[in-house]
Amino acid sequence: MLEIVIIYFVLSFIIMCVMVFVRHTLAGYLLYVPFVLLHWYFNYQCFIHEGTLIGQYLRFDKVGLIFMTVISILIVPTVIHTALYSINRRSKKRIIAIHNASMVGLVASMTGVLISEHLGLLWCFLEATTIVASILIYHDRNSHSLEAAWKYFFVSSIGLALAYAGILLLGIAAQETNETGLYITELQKTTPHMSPMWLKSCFLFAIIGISVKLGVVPLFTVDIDAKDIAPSPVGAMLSGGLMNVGFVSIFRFYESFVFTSIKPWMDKILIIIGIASLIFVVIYLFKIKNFKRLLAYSSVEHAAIAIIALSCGHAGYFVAVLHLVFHSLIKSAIFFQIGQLYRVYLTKNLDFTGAYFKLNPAGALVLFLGFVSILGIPPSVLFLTEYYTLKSLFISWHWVVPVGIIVLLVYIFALLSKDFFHILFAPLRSNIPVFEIIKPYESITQYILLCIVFWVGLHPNIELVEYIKMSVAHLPK
Amino acid sequence: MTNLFIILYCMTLIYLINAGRVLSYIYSLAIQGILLFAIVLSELKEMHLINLTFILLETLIFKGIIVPYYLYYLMKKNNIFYEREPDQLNFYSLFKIAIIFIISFFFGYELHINFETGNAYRLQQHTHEIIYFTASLSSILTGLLIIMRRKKIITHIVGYLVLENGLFMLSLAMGTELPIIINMGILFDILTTVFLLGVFLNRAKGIFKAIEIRNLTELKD
Repeated sequence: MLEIVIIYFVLSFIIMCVMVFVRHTLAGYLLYVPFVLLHWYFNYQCFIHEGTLIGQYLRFDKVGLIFMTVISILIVPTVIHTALYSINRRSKKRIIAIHNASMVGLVASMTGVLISEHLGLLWCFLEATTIVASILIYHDRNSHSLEAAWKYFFVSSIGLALAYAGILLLGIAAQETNETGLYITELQKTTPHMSPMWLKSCFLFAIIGISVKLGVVPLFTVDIDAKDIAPSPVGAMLSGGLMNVGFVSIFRFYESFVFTSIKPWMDKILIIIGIASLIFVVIYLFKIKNFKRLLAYSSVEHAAIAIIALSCGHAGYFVAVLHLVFHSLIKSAIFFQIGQLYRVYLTKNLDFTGAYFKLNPAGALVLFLGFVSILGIPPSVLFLTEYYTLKSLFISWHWVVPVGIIVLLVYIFALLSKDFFHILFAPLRSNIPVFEIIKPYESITQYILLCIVFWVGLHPNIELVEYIKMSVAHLPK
Repeated sequence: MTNLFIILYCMTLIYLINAGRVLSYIYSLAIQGILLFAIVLSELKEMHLINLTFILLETLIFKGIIVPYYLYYLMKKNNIFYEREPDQLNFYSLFKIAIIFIISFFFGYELHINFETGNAYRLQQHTHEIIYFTASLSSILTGLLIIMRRKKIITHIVGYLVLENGLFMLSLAMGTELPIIINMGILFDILTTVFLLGVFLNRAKGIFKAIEIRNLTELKD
């Protein structure tokens, strides 16, 4: 299997390099075909060799495989919408070539994070995602994209440097107990013998640093700028793929320390970060007029829910994973549609939108179904996950905590639905120009993503649920 | 001998926090790279060719030569010679760095003695680690301070590199090394990061009149 891993990364790198040098637009997009096939094949091989430790540094565990599959699903619509975006914007060939290569790099490096068994290697791949993601954010080559890319790149690098400090502190703790490896499976056995002080320091540094990837307090602000300025397909990949990668990275630290005495302390940190993120979302939603930032803040909300679920013990672990899987599909569909919305109005300002159902019925239906799903209204799966999160909160924490979270979620629900319904149903004023009529077939991929979500919501797949439950079965009850 | 190099390293931090010229920052970084090489060399218990080559590559070549030269190139190309708006008088900067050293020392001291038993004998055992820890934490905090308080983008890159040097020292305090393949990955990532930061800085010159952080505040809610 090690050969397949090497082949995957080497071929991905070769495809990246070829993409950079191929300046023919169609040929550039055709190069995605071998990459997507390669990624699917690799994903399939990972499932076959599930649980196997590969060359000490890699492991295919269920949590990683679940999120790798999500990336495998998202990659096809992302490529299609990237092509549409570049055609509509008439991007330069050189920029398209760099963009395509960076997208391949992003997918490969996210996959690397998901299969890393060594915390140092995980860090390397995380840093690699920062590098390629910032190139993707810089796609439009203007002052705003430069600002967003610089902020994302710089703050992510600083954040990850802090996470690296956390890994080094764990190394010191390991050294004190004569353990040398920073392998996640090994750490689950050795960390109970390590000094809790070092472990707490490590976890704190790690979660602060990686918060930039997950998009929660404290470093979420650069993530908002990035999702706002980056092309919509990139925003979809950041919300649907990279956010999960951030969650898995935090989860790796959590599962390494979960058998130690610091577990209750870690849970407190997680819930504090989750609640603080929700508070920030509520505050910012009051004044936002930009519909892309609105979606970015919605991602912060869902990342916070996942983090809160993680702090709720065994029932919460399963819910956190399930929540993020379906959030990825829904949010990506909405991000793709938001790209079309921008083409209709040529502005991101909510005040200059409205009557979207009249202007683009196919797209508006996607937006409506997406909003219903993302707001957690039945039959959306997110309704179930949010319900189970709140249920486990009442079991795990004092009632004040879940009640406070409910209040915040109600506020978010009200503020988001107000803006969403304004876009869909508000009468179109005469002074608002309409620039483009979108063709219905451009929304097909979004319908497919939403159909998956509703189908699972209406007919819960027992095998899928069991698989996700099994993925967190090794954690303490 | 190692302690002498670490003290010299700390002195470069004091110089960095007070410097006003970009060239001074670059010289300090180059000296830090050389000092890190000296520290690692004096700590090396066994001399393996692969280890020595990697350390040489990471400290002397990368931190001591390539990165300072690249920053020098950026400085010349973009005509950034001064960090024109020093935030405070030098006196306050000295005050800040002194506080950083004190905080770092206390952290190092507290973390290395046994909390549960308060064993004093462990202190002697860990003196060496405390020195490393103090220097590395000081470097990390100094890097963060430079990033927070300085206005030029190039100075922010310098701050990031000082922070990275601090992390390198922390990895020395760790004693047991990370596998070489992971060290190579980390080195490659940092090299790419510095290169890309430079690319963004060059682009900023084309878009904004002055390459300062205050130009990058357009995106708001």
